[in-house]
Amino acid sequence: MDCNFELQHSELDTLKAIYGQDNILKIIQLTPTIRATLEIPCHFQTPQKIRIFTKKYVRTSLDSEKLQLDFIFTEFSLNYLPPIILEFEFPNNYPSNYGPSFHLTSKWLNFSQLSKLCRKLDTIWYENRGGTVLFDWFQFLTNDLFQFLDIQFPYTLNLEYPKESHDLRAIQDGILSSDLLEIVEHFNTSKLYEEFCQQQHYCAICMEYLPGTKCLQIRPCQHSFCKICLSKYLSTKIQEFSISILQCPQGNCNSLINNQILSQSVNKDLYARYDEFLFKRALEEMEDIVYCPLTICGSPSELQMADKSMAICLVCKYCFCPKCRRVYHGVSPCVFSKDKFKEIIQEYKQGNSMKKAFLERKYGKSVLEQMSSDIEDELWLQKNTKKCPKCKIHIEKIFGCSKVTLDEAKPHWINLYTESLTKCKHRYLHGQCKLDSTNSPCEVGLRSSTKYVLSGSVLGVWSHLCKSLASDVTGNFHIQVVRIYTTNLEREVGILIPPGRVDILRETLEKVNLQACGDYETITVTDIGTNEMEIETMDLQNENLIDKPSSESDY
Amino acid sequence: MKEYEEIQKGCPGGGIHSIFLDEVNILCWKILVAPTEYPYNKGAFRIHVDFTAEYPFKPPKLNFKTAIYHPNVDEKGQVCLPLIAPENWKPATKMEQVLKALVTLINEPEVEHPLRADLAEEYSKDKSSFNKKAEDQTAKYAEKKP
Repeated sequence: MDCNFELQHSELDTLKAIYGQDNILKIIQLTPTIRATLEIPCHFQTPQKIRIFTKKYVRTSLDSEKLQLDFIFTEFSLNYLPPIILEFEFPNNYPSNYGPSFHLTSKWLNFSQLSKLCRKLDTIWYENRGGTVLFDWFQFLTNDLFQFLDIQFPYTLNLEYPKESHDLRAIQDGILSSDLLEIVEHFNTSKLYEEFCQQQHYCAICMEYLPGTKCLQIRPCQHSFCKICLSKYLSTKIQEFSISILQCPQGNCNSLINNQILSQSVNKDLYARYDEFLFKRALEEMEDIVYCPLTICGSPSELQMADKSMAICLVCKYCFCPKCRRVYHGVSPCVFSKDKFKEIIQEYKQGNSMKKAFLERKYGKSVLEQMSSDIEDELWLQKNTKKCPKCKIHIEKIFGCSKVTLDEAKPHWINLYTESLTKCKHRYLHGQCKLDSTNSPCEVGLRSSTKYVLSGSVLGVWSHLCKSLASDVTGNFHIQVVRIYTTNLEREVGILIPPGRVDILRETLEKVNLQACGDYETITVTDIGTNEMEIETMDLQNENLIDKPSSESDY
Repeated sequence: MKEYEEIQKGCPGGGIHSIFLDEVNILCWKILVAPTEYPYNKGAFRIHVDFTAEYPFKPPKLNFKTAIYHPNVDEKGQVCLPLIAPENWKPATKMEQVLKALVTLINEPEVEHPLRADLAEEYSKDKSSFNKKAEDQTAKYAEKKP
């Protein structure tokens, strides 16, 4: 009994001497029995790859209550894993009869692995029965753990509950924590930082060796500099007039300074300034951003619609056309003329990077690109196509020569000849004419037309004539005196009556005829072929034949 | 300044001949550079390096005190060296690297970014004429090789 007690204490003293300083050994109690923990560090000289599956319950859709199991797979390199904790207690008759009772706790080994370790520890005890065993255990766990469990890297952590019952001394305390990934990663970084702090580092700026606590390390290049130099460097860089992306101060090193280091090194104002700069830079890289044209605003605005014909300011919500920079005008054409576009595009294409950046900022990169492609399209159309005479759509000639043969032309000519007897040019080409609905039919391109001419001794009925011709709503009329040859080559001179007036005039004249029982006669002449008709016109107004001067004559 | 001692210790060689330090004004180094390559190998050029108070956070300024017929050095003696341009400057860059880059620039002019465009044109079009002029100028203005 006494012997055991002495052996127990001497073993504990030895352990204390070896491991006491590094917080590996922690004594919980000394009486009535000795209880303590040993933390077995897991350290790799070179970073090893660890993979972790994290389970996550995700809703299948926004409305449903159903949850779906989703696995996320993460891989990262580690130098440290959380320690395995060996908690032991010496029974009274250790080491003569019994081995120490113990629990083995780990965050990243699963139950079956821990159970296997427990059994191995038992075997070690049986091999050394009667002697102290803790140092051997510790040596085994530090040196042979990965070999014994046959763990190879990249290693996937698998913390599932085992199917068979496991050793009760094995405790898995990582399985319940949902943020195992975070724990493992955090442990690694804090350990690495500890390691970093303990070493001396050379600062290439002030050329001094300094302890890690006074230094900062830049990731991912892992260059380290002293805090004072880094802070001065970053502050000067941000305060410079032409601010640029902050990079590692080491020559030829392009790794960026992350926010963590920046916030540790510079004051809040400078940090905010750099942040703003980064934001602006990010905006400039986005193609769908133009700047608000309002001088009081000038904030970034987002291009909307598929054709980018509208932009809305993110701050003042002003809605404008990115091309002409005026209020959004919908489908109505932009006041910006095509020539102006061409000028801008030419400027953009020939300009240096500064000019380009300025124009991109003003109009937005995507708008400029669209504009330039539009102009190119148009040039191509002008060069290579003609408009269809009927529908005005651009057509491209793809084969054949430019000559039309007689046979090809004949049916078209015949068609035109027959059609032109009844249809005006507009109806022939487009199928309709805007004068169709009015009572004066269109005569453009027509081969035959009907003219109404009043001839004979007109002066006797002049006042009636004036009245009925002037009763036009507009009051706009002029009198044409014409000379015509009828089909049977009779020559007639008379007044040309507009087709709409014929009926009114005829009625009036009939009335007059009845009243006066005179022998007036109306002659209606239908003439065929405009070529045969010779029209001689005179401005009657000049000869004062009309009492009331009519409104402006057309010629 | 610690860097001075280091550069003296490190025995720069490669064309940099001597560095004098003004005891009163340690922010100005006087350097004698003797290029090894033709057409500048006939003499040595005096160069002043002016450090700003913010050094090493702001780049130093190089100035040729000896006239040199070179596309990258203008009449006033200013040099166009990308390494010490304010936007490229890294505080961890050492003067040794800067001087080495300078010697390389003198030996092999960079025609893409000239300070004197006429010389750059001559260099790329009529190299023999350029070499002759450069040699004459070196013989005329440069100091004797120590």
